[in-house]
Amino acid sequence: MEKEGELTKSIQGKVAEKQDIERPKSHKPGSERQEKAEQSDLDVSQTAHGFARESMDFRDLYKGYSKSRVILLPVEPYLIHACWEVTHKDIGKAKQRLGNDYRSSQAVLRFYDITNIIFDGTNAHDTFDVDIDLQSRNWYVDLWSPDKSYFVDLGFKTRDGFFLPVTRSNVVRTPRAWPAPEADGPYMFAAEDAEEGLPKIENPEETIRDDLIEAEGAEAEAEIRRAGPLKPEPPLPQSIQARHEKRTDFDLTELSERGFSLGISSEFISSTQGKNNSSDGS
Amino acid sequence: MKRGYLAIVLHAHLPFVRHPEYRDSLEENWIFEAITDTYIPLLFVLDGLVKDGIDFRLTLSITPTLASMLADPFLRSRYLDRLERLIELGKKEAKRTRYRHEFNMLALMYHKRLVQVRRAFLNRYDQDLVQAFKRLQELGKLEIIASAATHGYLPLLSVNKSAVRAQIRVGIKNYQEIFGRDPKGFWLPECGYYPGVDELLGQEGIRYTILETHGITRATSRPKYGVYAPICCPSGVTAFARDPESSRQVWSSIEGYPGDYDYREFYRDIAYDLDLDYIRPYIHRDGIRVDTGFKYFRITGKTDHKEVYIPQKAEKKAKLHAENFMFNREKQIEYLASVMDRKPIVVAPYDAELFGHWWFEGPNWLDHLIRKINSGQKTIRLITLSEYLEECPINQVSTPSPSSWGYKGFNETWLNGTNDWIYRYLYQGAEFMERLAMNHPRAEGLTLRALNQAARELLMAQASDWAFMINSGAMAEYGTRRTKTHLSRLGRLMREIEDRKIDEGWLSIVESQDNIFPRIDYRSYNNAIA
Repeated sequence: MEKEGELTKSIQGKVAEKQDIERPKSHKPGSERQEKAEQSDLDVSQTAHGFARESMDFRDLYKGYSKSRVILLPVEPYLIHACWEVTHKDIGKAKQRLGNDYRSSQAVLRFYDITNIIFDGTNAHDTFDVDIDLQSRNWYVDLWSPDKSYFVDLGFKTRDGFFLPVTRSNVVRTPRAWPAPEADGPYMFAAEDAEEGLPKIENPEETIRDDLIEAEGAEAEAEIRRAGPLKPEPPLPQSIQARHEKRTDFDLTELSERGFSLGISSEFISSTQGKNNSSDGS
Repeated sequence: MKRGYLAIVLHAHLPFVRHPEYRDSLEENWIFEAITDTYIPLLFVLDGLVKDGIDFRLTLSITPTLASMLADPFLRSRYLDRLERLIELGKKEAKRTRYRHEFNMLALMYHKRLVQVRRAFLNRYDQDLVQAFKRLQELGKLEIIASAATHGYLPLLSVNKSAVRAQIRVGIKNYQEIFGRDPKGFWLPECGYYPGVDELLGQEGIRYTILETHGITRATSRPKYGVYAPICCPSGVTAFARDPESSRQVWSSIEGYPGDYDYREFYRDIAYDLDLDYIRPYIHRDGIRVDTGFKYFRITGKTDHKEVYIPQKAEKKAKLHAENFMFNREKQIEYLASVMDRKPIVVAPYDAELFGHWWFEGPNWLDHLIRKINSGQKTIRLITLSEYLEECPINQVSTPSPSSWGYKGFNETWLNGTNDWIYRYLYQGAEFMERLAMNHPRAEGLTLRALNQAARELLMAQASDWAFMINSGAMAEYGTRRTKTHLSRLGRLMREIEDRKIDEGWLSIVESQDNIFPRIDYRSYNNAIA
């Protein structure tokens, strides 16, 4: 397996080559099924039980409370979902601010890649714009690299490149798509009953020595002391050591990862429930 | 000394479905079928093991929605009605099939089972199945773990921290009320993990949870032992990982045991095969054909051609599969023990309803497996997850990766073009609740009732089941209706509370229908107090 960094780089490299045309891909989700589901009124059968008011469009109950906002949700390592509300008031403000340029402006999500940094307003690794259809109220954005932190500003971009932000999203981190690179330092271990949520860090070498002293009592302690300060065992030649450590570690995480066949449970349930439904109609 | 551990974890869950407003409800059958097919047969197996003096360990999650339904007098009485009708059908079936020996045997088998189930439900368990599981926990054989209040899919609710906190807190409180102790483990619905949820679990006193394989294999830093030892999140909560190998053997619809040709075919139910006039009294009152549980065929093969089910053959297969499972675990643990400097643990979580309901022979398989493990082998020891932590409390510090056990392993099942419209309302609903809780720090009387009901409606709207149903298409209409009903009730309560015009008559009706969590406290949503 390639090292993560290299793989990421190579992927980014490939993407960068064609980024002018393709970067990033995005699409409107609005399948007809979804639109229908959201817009249909509550089941009329409710009214038979004296809930006439429940049969009103439930969305009306949520209207007067809205403010402009945009929310990001990671779907999987290479896909992010965005949903938003922009109030008439904020659109009015944008029109006022942009004047004649408003009509030719484009609604965009401006993405900021802030992976592993404290964002100070200027230090994002990368920014890019995704054109959206404001009316669709949600969008899916395909990405080229997993394990990244993003937020977006939703706003209007004029033809000459001026960007007027309306609202800013939460920060999301996309999931990893492969195991982390091998650890360079020693593994850190902590007790499960660590107090106040802070892991009690155990240094394996020290633990062993304490254990020895406690277990064998004063005699053993004396013996250890007689032997002088504990010396580390002479290190293995580095090549052997590296190979040895790598093997066990590499095997178990790789073994688990290889054996992981995605979505088994859901696949089982949905295939069975799907069949169940088809027999309902017969 | 055994060389490694096997932890079988069963996740028992059904969404809260209770419709006193209807004479008959298709969806209430889910729990009736699960009681007859899964929960009582599992209790038979576990009680039998105890009776035979067999030492075993099993971890079980019973979700608050399921526990609430099992405790509900209205559903219990409807379950008994349903059982009565099916027992009557059993008698009719025994008569109808009297000239076809192979079918007649099966009709008699089902009839006998139903009578046994009714007797146990009424007498041995006194209608209280949760209590029966609780007794097994008190014997130290079973460890019952908590779960989120209504099976909310927490990674997608995490936009509002208060929403996740309430799902966890209400779920744990429900556990404490039922089981009279603090839970050590917590089942994350759909194994849905995001970094940060462990911290909320830790704040509520939870010690461990279980993640899908890649939640651990892709942790930062890289786990030394793969999925064969848990990791300790920086929050102090321990995360175990699902073992892909043992999962696949049971779960997979293609290569898994449940697909064996000798096992009973789930989809051929007499409800769909027999004349409507004959079957009408035993299906939905509107004439909609629903499963009766009388299923006479075996899987046979990949085509629609099905042959008669032969229980003895299936029983033999279950035993064989249990032996095969154990053999594979022995080999697996022997290998792992040889390359690890600590005892490996294989964590095998399954949906409980797979056993008995989908996989008719599943409880039998489990029975054979546990007895086999207990019959003198030297490799595997069954263990509960908290026992493991007592033995191995020191674990590698690492942060798991976002993951779930859904399709592709992330959020897609619950967030795609079919169901994404739900979330904006769930977020707004959570903000409603935060605002209500902040503006009413000490509500009383009618306002208190309305606020608590609003909290119930939000929790019920958040159930992952609705998004799942909408996605799978099979029960999309019901999932959509439930989402909208609860959102609508929440929205109306919100307005009435803010306008100080609470319609008590309507509130009473809603309280009587959505009657989960009688002791809920809406102040869980107050960020200042929490």
